Amino acid sequence: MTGGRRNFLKTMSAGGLAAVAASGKARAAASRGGTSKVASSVPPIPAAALETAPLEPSESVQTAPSDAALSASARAQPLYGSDYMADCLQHLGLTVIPQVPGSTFTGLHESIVNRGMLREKPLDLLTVTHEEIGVAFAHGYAKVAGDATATIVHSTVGLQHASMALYNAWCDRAPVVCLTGSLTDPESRKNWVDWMHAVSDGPALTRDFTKFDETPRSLPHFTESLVRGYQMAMTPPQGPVVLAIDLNLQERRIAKDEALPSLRKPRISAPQGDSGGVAEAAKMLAQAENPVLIADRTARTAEGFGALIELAETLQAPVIDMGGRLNFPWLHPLNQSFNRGAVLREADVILAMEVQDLSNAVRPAPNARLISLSSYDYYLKSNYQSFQAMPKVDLAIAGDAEATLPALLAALRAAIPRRSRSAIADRGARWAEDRKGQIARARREAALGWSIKPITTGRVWAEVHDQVKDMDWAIVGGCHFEGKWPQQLWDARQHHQYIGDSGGYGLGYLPGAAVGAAYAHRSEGRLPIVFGGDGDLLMAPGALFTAAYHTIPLLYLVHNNGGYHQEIMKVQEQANARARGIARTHVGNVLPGADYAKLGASMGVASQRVVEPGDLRAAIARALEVVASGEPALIDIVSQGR
Amino acid sequence: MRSLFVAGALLALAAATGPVIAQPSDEAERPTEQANAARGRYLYFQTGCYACHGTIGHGAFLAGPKLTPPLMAFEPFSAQLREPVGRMPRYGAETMSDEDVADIYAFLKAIPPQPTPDSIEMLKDPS
Repeated sequence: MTGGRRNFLKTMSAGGLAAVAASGKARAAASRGGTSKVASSVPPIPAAALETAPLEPSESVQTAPSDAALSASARAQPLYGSDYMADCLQHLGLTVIPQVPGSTFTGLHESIVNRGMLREKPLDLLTVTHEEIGVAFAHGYAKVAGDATATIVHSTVGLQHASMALYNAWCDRAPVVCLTGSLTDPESRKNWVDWMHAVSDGPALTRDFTKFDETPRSLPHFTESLVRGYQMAMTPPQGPVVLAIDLNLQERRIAKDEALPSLRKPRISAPQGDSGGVAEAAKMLAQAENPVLIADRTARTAEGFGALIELAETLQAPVIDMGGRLNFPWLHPLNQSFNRGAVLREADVILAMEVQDLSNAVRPAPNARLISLSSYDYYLKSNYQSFQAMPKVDLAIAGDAEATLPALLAALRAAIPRRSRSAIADRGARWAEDRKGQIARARREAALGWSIKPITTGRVWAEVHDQVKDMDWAIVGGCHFEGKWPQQLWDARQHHQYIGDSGGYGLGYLPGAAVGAAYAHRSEGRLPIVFGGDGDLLMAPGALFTAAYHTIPLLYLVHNNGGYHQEIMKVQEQANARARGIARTHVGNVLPGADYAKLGASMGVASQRVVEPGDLRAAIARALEVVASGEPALIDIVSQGR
Repeated sequence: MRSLFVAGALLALAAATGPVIAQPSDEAERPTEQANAARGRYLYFQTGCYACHGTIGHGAFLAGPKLTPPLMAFEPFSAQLREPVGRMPRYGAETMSDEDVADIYAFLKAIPPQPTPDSIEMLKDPS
């Protein structure tokens, strides 16, 4: 990686549109006081709030005390259950905490801002405007950071808001630790709202699509539940967990002789497929004439990404990347993702690794022998049907693909006979030649409609790529509805450059997840980019506020196609099948007139609107300057449907 | 009357901002019968072809395949509309006349040649 790619945020200077951003940075600097490393995580107080209530950051915010000073202070003051909880979050590394404030976790909220955020390795409490955004933020963050973080939601209504986003995380096998407030003791409920927001078993709401939940009854029980929840969230198949934290437990004073939490953050070792199954799979692949590898959520980390490259190159086998993560370099000669039908029709043995919709993925190859290597076999829930149709598998290896790949590679190298090497090399050469033709075709198709309005998605991606190709870019949203052009023409060689999509296709994922992923990229100085739907943005526009308020750099391109494109096509299909005509099928499907640049600006994001294809280049350049200055930028692009 | 006004207003908005999912047009905007390609263009939008295949038939991933270039022969084109293979909606004679099909075909045939990647600097083969 070049120095320029590594240091995107340091090498570009602000200007142009950055004027909008600069005012935000100035506000931030003014409210920080500029002296404390810790206080840098404290966002600016909004100007409107300053006008109506002249709040100034307290001295404690401007100058962070050391842990030693904090301890001395703690000895002099009583501690509370929520202080203990905040310490647990810090010890476990669940330090980035998006939340919508709620009255059932005010104790923990206070402990985080007055204790957790003042530590030398502080917690960072972020303001989000919807619990769905909070969970999506944690979801996107986890896929980039490779580690879970926590989000906190209010009891009942808060968890209800969060539930769809938890389902997305469940389907996407993403670790999220969701804390939900609770008020279980009726004697503590002061009014009718407390009763409305009380529930005997809150996590029951999401139990069908979380790996674990618990309602701790004591502080040691909280520690145990938090560590257990974290461990279960992080162990493949990864997924969300929910802990209900009682307000009385948060508010309880800790006696002077009670111990503060002492816990260890476990290093998670993923389950590996058994050696017999691995040996048999290696033998089948070694003897195959046309082996094919299918990946989906295969590479959890850069190590998995590298291992899959090794496996493919050892076999010189084509790889079909279904796109749940970035599993394989997009322009690699063996990447045959856009040649799936032809590849599978020739296949005699298929190795599918962590593939969600396996039945459909292998449909063109009904006679090939199928090996499934997947942690999905460990799932125990059945109400929601996210497990998909039952594929016809010849060898099912229950195990995490990334953890199993090194053993499979070793077994495969031993199983490949020397006499096969020439045939294997020929196989690779044939696929490589085919790949050149696929890339040439993609270029031809990207050129179609180059100057038309609405702007083609091919042109949008090409214009962005032209300006970012030498930077350390990372796409933080799915590209399925935006033409999948990056997968065809961008040179992605590192695992972090793409994180897949929502998992459950629950609309409203993208804005929060993109901002959460961008937060995780920020410390690495990378350039996060998303090109996502207008409908998705309208479902959770408040994520833009979080990006602006917490100065999270992100290039957010809005795919403004004026409606719910997928649905308008499907309603048209229904109307035509019933011979009723399609004249009214737009009703309920269109979003005419929305101006996403104004929406972004209203949240404090430097925003532009582009209608003319010729204006794209300059708009992207201006937006990149803003992002390089450390702020988010948005471009509302009036685009083709797909 | 009100619905016509609303449709007209939405069309005006569509023209101004250019969202791809436009509303059905009203009678005043219907082209003449003689202008086959122009009428075909109207029908291409009015009957929803653009939604899946793009506004100049350039196709869209996970939606509709590219229609042109190259444009298939008229007979298989017509057959695909009448009895579609795959997930494409069926356009029977009750919703689309033979003349309509011919005009849409004429529109697609009249689409000017598109640029090649070699004529666009950022799409040139870097090798």
